[in-house]
Amino acid sequence: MTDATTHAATRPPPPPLIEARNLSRRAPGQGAWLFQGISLSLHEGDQLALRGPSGAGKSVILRALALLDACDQGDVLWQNAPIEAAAVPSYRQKVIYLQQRSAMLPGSVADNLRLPFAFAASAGKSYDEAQARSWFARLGRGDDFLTKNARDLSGGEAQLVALVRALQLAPQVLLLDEATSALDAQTAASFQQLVTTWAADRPSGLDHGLSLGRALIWVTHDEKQQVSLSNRVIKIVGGRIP
Amino acid sequence: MYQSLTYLQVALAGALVLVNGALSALLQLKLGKQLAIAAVRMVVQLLLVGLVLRFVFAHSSWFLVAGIIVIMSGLATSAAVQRPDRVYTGMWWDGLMSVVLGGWTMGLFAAFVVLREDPWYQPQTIVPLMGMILGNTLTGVSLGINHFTDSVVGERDQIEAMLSLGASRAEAARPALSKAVRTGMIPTINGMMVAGIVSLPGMMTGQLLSGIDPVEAVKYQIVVMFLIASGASLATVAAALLVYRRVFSSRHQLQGWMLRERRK
Repeated sequence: MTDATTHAATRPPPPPLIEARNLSRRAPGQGAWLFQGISLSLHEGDQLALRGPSGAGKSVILRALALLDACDQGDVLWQNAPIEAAAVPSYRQKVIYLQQRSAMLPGSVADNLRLPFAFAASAGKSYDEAQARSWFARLGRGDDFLTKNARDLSGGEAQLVALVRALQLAPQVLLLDEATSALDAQTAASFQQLVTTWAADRPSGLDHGLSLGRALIWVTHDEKQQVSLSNRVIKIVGGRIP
Repeated sequence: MYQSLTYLQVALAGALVLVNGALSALLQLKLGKQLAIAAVRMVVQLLLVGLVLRFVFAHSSWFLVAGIIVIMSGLATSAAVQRPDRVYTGMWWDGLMSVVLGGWTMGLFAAFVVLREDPWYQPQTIVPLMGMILGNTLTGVSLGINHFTDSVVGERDQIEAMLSLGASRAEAARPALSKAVRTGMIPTINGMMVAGIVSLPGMMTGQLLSGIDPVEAVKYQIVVMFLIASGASLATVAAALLVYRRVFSSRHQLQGWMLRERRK
């Protein structure tokens, strides 16, 4: 598979944001491979769709890229460097994994938004309520939405809160695991719109030699979404890239 | 004053098991066999313990006392790890470390700081004291393991949501840990609340039966209650932390698959 096709041919491509090298993982306690020999690179500007039948291993690959599960073989690199154990939490604020039904924590919507700022990995970041309000306004939710109890949210609303909760940490990569498949068409469109805006609104340049660029990976069964949101597609069959 | 019991007197009390047997037959509870086994086990176990303790008390030596405490700790561990609804590899060792930390720390504190008897391993004091401490410690261990593993399985999605947003394993596990430790300490707090009101604690009862002044017996009981409370709390915290270190990897991953449902 070629990774650099979308990049200018005249200068060397910048290092990939994420590079997976020969990742393999077995089912815990069993011998069967969940996926095997997965190598891929995600460059800034990439909008990659992982495609394949149910059970092909797309979700587990996405979880492995978020370092949520340990792999039996292979490495995940962030901008060409291995990720030390102590750096995993801050990596997960740069590379955020969103699942199909994101969990809400007890409290209001605002409590859920404030939550990640209490983590040590968020040092230097702070909760910006005005920013949250403006995102929710774009999603058609009023100011009182922030005070709503997270328990009373519909599945779709919870997913929107999960997206805003992730975006406010200014991630560089979103890993979206069928993140809109449980949403009605209108909510899915709002969700998609916000993701597109986030992806397009990428800061340029370097910080301490590292790229600030943005990219995303979708796992989706929705073919229309695959066409409108991705500029690259990788097929996964039986836990492998054929 | 203290009255020694004859085996006939014991047998008279033992006849009361017939009351249970009659009730079981009358109400068709089908508990007759279990009842008979339980009664025989209780008598045999207690007689054996009595004989062993008589031997240990007669040969007041530190290694006999230490040996008996090691055996008691092993038995307490086995009882503690049989209760939680989930099991994992290494559970017995986590249980033992927690029992040892909670139970032995309190035992040493009692021997060297509070009681300061000569010799410090006075078996008449240390063995029953450790029995009471370990008995409560094992409850703390099993509650700590059970509630922590329950929370981790039940709140897996919330924990993973926190990890996905950059929480360290300690930050993501904190709510489950506090809940487990809180629940593990509740029996101890309740025990202190009702001590002497609902029932007289076992040790105090024993001392009263052997003719000790009630206020002296109460003083001993207060010491024991504090030792039990601290031992159980330490053990609960230790057990929850040890499970935490197994279930959350050093790379801040929740390895919930390690916890298997216990086969009933």
